[in-house]
Amino acid sequence: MSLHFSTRISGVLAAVLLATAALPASAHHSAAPFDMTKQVSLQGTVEKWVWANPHSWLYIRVAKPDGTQEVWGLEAGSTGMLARSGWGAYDMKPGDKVTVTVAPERDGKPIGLLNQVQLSTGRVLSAGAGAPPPGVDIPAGYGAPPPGAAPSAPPVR
Amino acid sequence: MFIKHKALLAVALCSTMLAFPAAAAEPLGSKWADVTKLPDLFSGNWESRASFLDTSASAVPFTPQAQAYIAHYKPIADIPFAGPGCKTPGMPIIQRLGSPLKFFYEPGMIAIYIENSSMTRFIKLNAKHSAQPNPTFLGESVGHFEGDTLVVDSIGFDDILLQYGVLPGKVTGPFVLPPDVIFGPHGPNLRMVERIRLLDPDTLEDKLTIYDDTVWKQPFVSNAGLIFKRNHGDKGWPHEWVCSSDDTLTFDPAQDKTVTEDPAVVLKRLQQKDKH
Repeated sequence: MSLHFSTRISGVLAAVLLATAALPASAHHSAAPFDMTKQVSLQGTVEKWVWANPHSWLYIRVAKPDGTQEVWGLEAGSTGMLARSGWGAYDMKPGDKVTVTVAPERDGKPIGLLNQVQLSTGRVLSAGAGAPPPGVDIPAGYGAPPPGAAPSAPPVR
Repeated sequence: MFIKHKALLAVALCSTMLAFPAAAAEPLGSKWADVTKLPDLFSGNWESRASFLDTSASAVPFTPQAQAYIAHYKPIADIPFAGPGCKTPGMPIIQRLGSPLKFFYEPGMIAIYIENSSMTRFIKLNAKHSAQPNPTFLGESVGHFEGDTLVVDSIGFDDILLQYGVLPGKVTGPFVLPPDVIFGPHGPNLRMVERIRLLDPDTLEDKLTIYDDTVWKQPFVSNAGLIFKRNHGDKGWPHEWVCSSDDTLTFDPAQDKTVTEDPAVVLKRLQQKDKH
């Protein structure tokens, strides 16, 4: 298991995350606690998948480079919105190995906004909290930068 | 003699019929059969494509009372809905928080299930408001059809989260979040009028006008289109939404900040709960 942080700004990811910060992810609170300009990839073991409203939460245990372990809490969308995106309450159970992509909490705590989960079977659950459901248009001005252009970060609070 | 009696009876019947005017046609939305004449608001559900908050930089002038309030207004980091218990912001914000709306019909009523909070608006069709409706977060709504447009008039609001407008210079994109806007109290005669219609078979528009003479000198006409897209099939099915999760991250309106808890601590608490 490994912990990999990428601080490179992905124009597309940032756009998608920002779009969902105000679009279909069944808002409860704003996305202010999360750093939408960062993409964090984590590999870990599922401790608990909480299927609930206003947000579902995935708790995973992650091995740190120093050999210790850390529990991450990953916020997902409401159950209805997740169900519409193909997620279910029984998709994950304790002990499952997963790879997740999240926008991390700003203060460096092991908390993130869940964007995608890849199960050990290879199945990918996406369009959760941090990505719009298929067919949702990313608003003008929030799309990927044109080829050759430096990716620009969306306004961040 | 018999014929004369029959003629008299016929004249009497005709006179009786003439004494009663023909029954007025019942307005649309009064019968089950009317559902076939109404615009299809009912198939699937409707997902907002608008910002959580109104992007309108309203040109409507504020009253002196509202100006005095705004002069001392301190922006908030988030709305109470983001806190424990998920206190609803009420109308109109609750309709645009992402989860879809589902319309239902029965003669004399259209109901709108708002998935984001599992609340339902009940719109009494072709009816008048109560003399003094009890305050509610969704208001008391009456509605009627003007052609293909459902006009909904709502009054009787509780302590809802009312957005006065946006803070100067804050709206730079299509989305507006809580720190960008001004929220404030409403007056006793707050009224909202919505004009709901289909722009095309899968696009619904809700045009909102808010009346509150303690806040605006003229009606506030939202110039930000509140657009919803229809979900079909399984995606159009409504889901329940009960505020119940033991969140690691919760907004505290009292401190006006998001409070986080160590996920390991939350996980331990949840696992202990599972054992009982």
